Amino acid sequence: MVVLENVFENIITDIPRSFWITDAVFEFLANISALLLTYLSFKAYKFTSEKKYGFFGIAFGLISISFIARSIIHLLLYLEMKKLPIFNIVSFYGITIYIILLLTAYLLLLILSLEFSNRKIMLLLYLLSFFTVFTSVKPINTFNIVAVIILGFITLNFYEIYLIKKKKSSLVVFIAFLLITLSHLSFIVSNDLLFFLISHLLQTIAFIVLLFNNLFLLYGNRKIINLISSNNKNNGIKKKQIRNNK
Amino acid sequence: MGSRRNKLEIINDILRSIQEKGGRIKPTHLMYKSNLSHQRMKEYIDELKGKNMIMEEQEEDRHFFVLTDKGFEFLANYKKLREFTETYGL
Repeated sequence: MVVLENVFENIITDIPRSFWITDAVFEFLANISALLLTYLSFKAYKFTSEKKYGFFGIAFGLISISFIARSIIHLLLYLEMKKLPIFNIVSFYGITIYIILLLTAYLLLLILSLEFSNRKIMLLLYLLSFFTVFTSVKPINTFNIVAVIILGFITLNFYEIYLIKKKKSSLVVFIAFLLITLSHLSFIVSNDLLFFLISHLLQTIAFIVLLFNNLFLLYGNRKIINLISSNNKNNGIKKKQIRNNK
Repeated sequence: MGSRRNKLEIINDILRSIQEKGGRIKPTHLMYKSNLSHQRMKEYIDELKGKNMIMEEQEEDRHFFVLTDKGFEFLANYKKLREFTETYGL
């Protein structure tokens, strides 16, 4: 197994090229999911001026940008640019941006979940998290450990919301965040190829699940189901026409 | 006794009350239909006027609150926003 040593990350580089472009495509879908939530949040903020909607939108906006930073590294790996000097510079800054933005996003979601109002405690959380990550020997591993702890509380909050609201959409959100938590847990041991792939798979599934959930919120179940079933009907009609032509 | 309304629900109740009266309503009617105290209604009205979701009109010596396009836009999107708020517990 070839591992590229980086200040922040051991990047496994002997994975087939097709994995990196596939992962980049799924990260694009994850971006759409995060951006949809940003859009809904800022729409709610526009009408109510309540800060919680603004912060929720900012959190998912940061998640979206962090995935873009990671996608750029994966794209360079797909283009087989790992031997070029620029790769180390781009991956260094890319991973740094990824960690900073994602950690900030998770902390924002934690603050919203626990309904903190004390700014000193918020600042303490931020400083503790950032200094813990960036002063450690392996920042990416420490980041994943810190992320698991933060996401654990966020996931628990979404579970409690589901217990109160009893909505399917709330259950979906809880499951998605549980998968994201497990993906970070898996990233801790991602020097092993299997866990590296599992981590990416879990994160991908989580955001695709959130994407469909958000689409249902925006467009309603019937329109989505009609769209899927009309595509299936068209495929059935096309198959009949091909058989008749034969 | 019902649970407390959140801000989104209160804004919806106010704007829907105006919509149900054909898009214009007298202040006293609005206060009764929206189930708010005078002080709270004034705060919400000032905020909604600031956001251009309603406007105030005067006809002879009578005042009316009128729903604007932005107010209609909120009502059209309310269901989606409520679903989003409830799903994510905001």
